[in-house]
Amino acid sequence: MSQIDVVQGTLDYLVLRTLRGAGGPLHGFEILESIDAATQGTLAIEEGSLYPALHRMEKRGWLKATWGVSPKGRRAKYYVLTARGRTELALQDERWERYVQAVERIGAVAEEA
Amino acid sequence: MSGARQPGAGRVGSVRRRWRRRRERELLLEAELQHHLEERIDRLIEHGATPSAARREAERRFGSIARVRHACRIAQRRGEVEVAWRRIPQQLLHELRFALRTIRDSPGFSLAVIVTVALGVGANTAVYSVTDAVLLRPLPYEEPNRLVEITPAGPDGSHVWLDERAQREWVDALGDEVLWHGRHAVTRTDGAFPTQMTLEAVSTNWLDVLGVQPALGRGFAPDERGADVVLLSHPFWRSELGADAEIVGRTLRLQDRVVTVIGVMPRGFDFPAIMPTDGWMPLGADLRAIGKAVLHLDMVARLPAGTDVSAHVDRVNARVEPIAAPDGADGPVGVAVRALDYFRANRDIRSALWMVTGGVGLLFLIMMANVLNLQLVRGLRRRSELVVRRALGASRARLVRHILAETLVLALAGGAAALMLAEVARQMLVGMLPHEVEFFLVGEILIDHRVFLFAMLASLIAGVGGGLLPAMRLSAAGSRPASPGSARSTADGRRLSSAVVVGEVALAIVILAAAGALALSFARLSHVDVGYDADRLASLTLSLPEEEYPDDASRWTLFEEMRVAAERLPGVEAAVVAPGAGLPPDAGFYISPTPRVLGRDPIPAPELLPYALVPPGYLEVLGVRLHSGRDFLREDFDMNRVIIDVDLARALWPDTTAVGRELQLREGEDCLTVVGVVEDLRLMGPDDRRRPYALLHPLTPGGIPWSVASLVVRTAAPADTVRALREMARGVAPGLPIWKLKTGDQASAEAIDEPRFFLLLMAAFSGLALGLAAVGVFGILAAAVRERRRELGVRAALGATALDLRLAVLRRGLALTGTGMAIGLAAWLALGGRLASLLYGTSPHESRVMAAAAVAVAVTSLLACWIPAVRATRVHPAEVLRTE
Repeated sequence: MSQIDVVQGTLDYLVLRTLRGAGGPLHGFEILESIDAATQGTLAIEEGSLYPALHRMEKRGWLKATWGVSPKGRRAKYYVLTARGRTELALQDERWERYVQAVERIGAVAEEA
Repeated sequence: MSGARQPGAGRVGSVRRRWRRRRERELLLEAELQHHLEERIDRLIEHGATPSAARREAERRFGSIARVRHACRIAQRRGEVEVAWRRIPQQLLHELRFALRTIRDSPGFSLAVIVTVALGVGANTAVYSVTDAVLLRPLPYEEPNRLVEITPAGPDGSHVWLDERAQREWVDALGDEVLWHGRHAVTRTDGAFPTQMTLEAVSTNWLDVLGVQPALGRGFAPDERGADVVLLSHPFWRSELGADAEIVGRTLRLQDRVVTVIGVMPRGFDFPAIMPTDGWMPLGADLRAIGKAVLHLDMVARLPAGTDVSAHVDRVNARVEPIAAPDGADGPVGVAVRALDYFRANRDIRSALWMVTGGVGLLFLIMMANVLNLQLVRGLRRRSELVVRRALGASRARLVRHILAETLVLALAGGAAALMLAEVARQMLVGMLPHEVEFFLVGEILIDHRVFLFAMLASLIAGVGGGLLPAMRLSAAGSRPASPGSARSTADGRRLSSAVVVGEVALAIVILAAAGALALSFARLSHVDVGYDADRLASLTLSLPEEEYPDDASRWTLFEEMRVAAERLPGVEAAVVAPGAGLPPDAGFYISPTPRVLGRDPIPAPELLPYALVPPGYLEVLGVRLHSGRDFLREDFDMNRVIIDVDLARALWPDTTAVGRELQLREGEDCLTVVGVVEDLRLMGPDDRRRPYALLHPLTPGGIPWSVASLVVRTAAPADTVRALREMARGVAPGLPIWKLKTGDQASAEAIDEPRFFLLLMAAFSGLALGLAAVGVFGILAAAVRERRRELGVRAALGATALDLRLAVLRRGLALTGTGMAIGLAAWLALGGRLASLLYGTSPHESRVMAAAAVAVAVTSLLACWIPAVRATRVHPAEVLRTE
């Protein structure tokens, strides 16, 4: 299946979901890999836009970052969800749900007889 | 880190720390991004790429690392990824569109705001256009502050007139450095009747010195000295020649010579800046223009770059020293220098204009208050909308921006309307400018770019001033849930609205009191006994050209002929000839002496002492009443005799009669004998505060010393006589333009033109202020009635009568008005004293003035309460209770 460009504005949501699913801290590259793996390569994320998004979310208090050492022995910046981030995620979940349902209703063939 | 202070703490230390922190952040960011690349490279190598290929691919996939770095930096700083300032135009457009939509949805409110702003800004712009043209606008020359006026001065620095010979010497000595100019009135014989044209004769280098180019045509060429060519002023070209586009090359008949028009000066240009000029002609080498000698030349020079005034004075002094008067002689010894706009320092015109500016400024505040209240009242109705917007994530700043944007758009629309109003006002003002204001006007009153900018700035201030507070208050209200808390926020809003309306009423009282004081002063001024019978006089003034009337005797012959003819006209009782412009307020001239009696101390010098040259019989014609002594006789002329008015007599000789006594006007001059004392005579108009005395000198029998003289006629029907005089003058001297022709009443009315003008302005502003304040009171009461419908309904259900309900509203209205009045009157008591110098015989704090202002406000307020009061009784208890 060909790649789909990430819908503008949902990058944050993807990152938040990824971090929730991971349960623990991830660094930027790992987040990217995780999305790639989870969507089986479907979603194309511009690598360059990931880091500004991470920094923005960190500034807004949705993520907390600490410097640690990667399994390969390199210094890496690890991100984790904060409580506020979790609240935000819940909000965005709901919004995403409504968005999807709304889109479904457009031009839907009348299924009930 | 411990609490101990680090070395380098304090301002420098914190800068260093910040810089260190920034460096740290940079390094960490770099490390993070590099880490990503390294991971990517590892993956690629695992899949078989070579290290260099892997690196290239990794970098390619990542994109421009510089851009990412930059975006991260911004994200760190502001929590936004996109550069904020690049978003501003987009944001603004969005706000603008939203604001326009909201405005369209409430047309009534929008119109109210636009009209209010238009009135307030329009009035201010009109006043500014006048003030700018009179006081503020830079002179219409290039770098006007490098231009100076040079006058020949005596040893004490006072001005010395040059005679013709000296004039020529000075012109030769100073050459092309200096611009010479002199007033030059000529007769224009183009039309059916000869008219006067006021020209300025100038040296041919004048446009180079001033740095201005004509709007049409060209300037004078150096070889055109004394040529019969003329440059016209813009107003003259418009009014007398219909702004003919083909004017260059056409001719005019001036002084019976054919003069070619070679150009028109730009609009707004005026030289000299004081007094309006119809056109400019080149001065000849013989100091003549159109064959007529130009007397009293003045000089203007431009300071060369890098020179200051004193250096220039020295230079000029060096040049004229050889021809200056030797010690002891009567001529000039050097030059005095002053700025070209020295006349703008005049106190009277400044005070009057600042007063009007103050009045219109208060009007502006009232206007802003109304806009503020309009927004508040409307905002309270939109409370639910604002709450929802807040819940959907709009930040408070966003809401503030939005409401502010709305108000600004409305205010700017009001500003555009204001400009149209200001143009209308300008045309009216130009038509009714008093002579005194016209005198100081530089150029014309225009809506130029300066005035336009003023209007826009004023609109912006109105928008921000009227919108900011409601915006902040309403956006805060939006954050509270609409429930018990909302009652409190409503109460807060109401308190603010009430305070604003009270403020408006206070300001309105102040303006009204000022207008009232001016009105009282004007009324008193118009009823002053001026000491002669203005309602039985008519006068004809002519300016006699040098060539045809070169001496005293020839002028006398002409006027005597006219006098005899005038006495034969029907209704005329007597006629007399007097030099000068004839009737007060132009009847005399000013000198500044210190009158004294020899052997005693001089009395306090009046600032200005009007004096007139009068023939025997003048007093009788004018109807001046003799207090003691007698009128002049023919032989009084060369005997140093004088007639004074009773105030001067009492000041000099408090306990004895003045007749027969001697007085001295200036140190070293001959003494004058008083032969007659007249009752209080106001030669220069009814306001005698700075010119409390009058002095009359006898006129040379058979001679008129000046080229301007008048025929003053005593008649039972002045209006008819004026017409007859015109016919008679045209018959006796057909080639002479009639300079002035008026009745005594017309002259008296003109004498108080200036106070009348400023009174009209202040009255207009106070009317507007009262209207706006009434609208403010009405608005707040109407809103209160709307809000408290439930309460009113309950009260009605519980048995309150219509009257009770109305009284409830009235009580609130009167409370607001009463508080406003009290504050306003207190403010007037504190500040009104500043107006004292502008008032005649009136104190600003007279009870009549304050009472009138209070009554006006009270009555208007009552009217404003009327409709809300009536509406209050229309509240149906049943339908209100139903909505529970």
